[in-house]
Amino acid sequence: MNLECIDLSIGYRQPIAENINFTLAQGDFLCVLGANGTGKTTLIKTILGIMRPLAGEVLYDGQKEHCRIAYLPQHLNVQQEFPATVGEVVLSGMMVHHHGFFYGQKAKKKADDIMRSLNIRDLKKRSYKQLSGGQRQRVLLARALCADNELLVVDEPVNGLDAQAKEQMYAMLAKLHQEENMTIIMISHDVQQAIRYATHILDMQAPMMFLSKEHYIKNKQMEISSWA
Amino acid sequence: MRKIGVFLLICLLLSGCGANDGEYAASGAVVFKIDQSPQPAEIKPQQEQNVASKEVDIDLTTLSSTMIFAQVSQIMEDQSSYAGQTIRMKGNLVVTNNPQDQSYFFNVVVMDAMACCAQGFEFVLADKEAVYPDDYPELNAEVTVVGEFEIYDSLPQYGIFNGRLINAYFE
Amino acid sequence: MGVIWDKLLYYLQYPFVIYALIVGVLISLVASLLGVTLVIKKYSLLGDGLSHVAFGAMAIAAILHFSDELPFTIVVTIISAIFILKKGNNAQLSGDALVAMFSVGSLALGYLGLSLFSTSSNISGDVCTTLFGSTSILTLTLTDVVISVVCSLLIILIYLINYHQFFALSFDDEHAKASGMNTDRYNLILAVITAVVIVLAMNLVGSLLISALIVFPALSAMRVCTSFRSVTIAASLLSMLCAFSGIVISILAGTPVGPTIVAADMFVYVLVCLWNGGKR
Repeated sequence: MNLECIDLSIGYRQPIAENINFTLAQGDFLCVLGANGTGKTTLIKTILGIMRPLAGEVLYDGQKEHCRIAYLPQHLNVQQEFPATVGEVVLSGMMVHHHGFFYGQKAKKKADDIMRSLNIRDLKKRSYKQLSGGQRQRVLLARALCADNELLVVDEPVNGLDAQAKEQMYAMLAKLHQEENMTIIMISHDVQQAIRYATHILDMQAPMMFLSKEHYIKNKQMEISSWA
Repeated sequence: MRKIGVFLLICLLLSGCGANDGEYAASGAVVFKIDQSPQPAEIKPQQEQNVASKEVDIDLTTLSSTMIFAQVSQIMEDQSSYAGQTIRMKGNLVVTNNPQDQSYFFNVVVMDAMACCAQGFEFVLADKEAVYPDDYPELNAEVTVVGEFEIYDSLPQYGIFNGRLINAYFE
Repeated sequence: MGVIWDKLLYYLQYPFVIYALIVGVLISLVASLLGVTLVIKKYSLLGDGLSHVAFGAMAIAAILHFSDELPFTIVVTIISAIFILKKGNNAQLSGDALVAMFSVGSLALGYLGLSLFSTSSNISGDVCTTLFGSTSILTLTLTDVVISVVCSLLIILIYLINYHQFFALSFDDEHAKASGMNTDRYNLILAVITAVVIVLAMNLVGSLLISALIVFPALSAMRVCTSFRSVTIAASLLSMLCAFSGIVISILAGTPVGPTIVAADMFVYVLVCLWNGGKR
């Protein structure tokens, strides 16, 4: 999917960020950087359609409405004490395709396959609230992938995870990017990792910059050398 | 498996909880069918014993206080079905004054379980010679009254109908 | 035990007892279905607040001498529910402040109105009955029974049809919205169903105790069950069981119906907690 942001202005009532312009082609990995309050989460909520833009527009393959986007929110923002099995949580990602009263066999099989690819198939009957942070993230990622396999939006995926879980999460995202050619938009505080995996960087810290990875690195090196 | 166990345990415990009802008195009576009123007459009594003088159609003395309250409300709601039925009720004697002609209204009332509401019947004794307070029990005393349910125009200027027990007597 | 059984069979011959059991079981079923979602979304307070609004509406209906207070009460409560949920997103009036305002306001105005304008001979008795559900479930008119049964069955149907949407809404409504679900519409449906259930449940347990009917079965079920589906089924079964036994115990023992049902719900909850505690 081609994603275009044209003169986008985002915020609740007052704009938090304005004149956002960038284009992503299928297979790009965009990392959104910036301190708290610069509008990273607001941007992806606008892209996802949860919030309306204050000005400008977002086009999905040239259309104003998107069919479906895979969304992995911060796991700490999701209900911690919700009584549900892993299977139920993952299957809920199928809702975007769901037109009848029940999820059919095809939907359940696809959910199963996705769980298997993320190594959580054996957790299917386990209670979601008893899982570790890393396991929960994988469950939520599986839920996201049930919705779509072209565009994945990820909000701080490694927040609150231990080192091993962090590595696993990044490895999975890299795999989705390289093997499945998914377009990924990732919010992160972790600049080092961003540079490792991303193809493009959007730095929301003023002045806002949308650059390919190489340009971003060059830019940063120039910045550092200008201080010296 | 343990979930089934929890349910069974709960079912068992709840089914075992039936407290004793203080009001339960086995003073059943013979019931006979009356054409106009369907359900009340079809309710079979718990036990059959010899009755004093009148054959009682609805014996409220066999019910718990919650049931009495509900049954009396039902009678007041659907008065025409119960007209002419003989009702026995045990409750407290409450006497109210009619300000217009200094006469008295006599009521047998029972409180509901929370003691905030009272339900009952006004009654008029069969004995026309009876005078208050001499021929009546003490105020608030527990009395058992048997009488015939009648609908009468209690406030004719407003067209408000009320029910009361006539030809009543104390047991 | 035999004596009690005989007495129960005797009571079951009264039609109003059968009505009470049917309506009571249905209402407790829909209340518990709703309860799982409401408790999870932390809307338990909404249920409580709306029950006070329903009380106020019923008071107005009584003052205005409506022949049947139920339809008016349902409509007013639905409107309040929608208003609270919509305006609750306003920064100036947060959701719980709004609920509090509506809730105590209705309670006070309702009682005040009844005191000033009602022609009933026993106002505190009427108020007491509406608040605590002493015998209301046993004194339903046929219209009330029909409305209650029809509404309950409709709600069950709506819930079953939209089960997956309600799951998604409860678990992660932001993700549901991102998936293209019209969360506003489903929140609206939820509000309307909540309002209807609360008005119906006022007849069963009175408006002060409705929260218990909604909350306890869900809480008990969540302690025992793992999946959302089993929580929903367990909550329904427990709720129906407690309502049934509550009504039966109250007519046998002469206790007020509403508090007896709630006591049964609490008893089950304590039992489940002990069972759970013992397992660890």
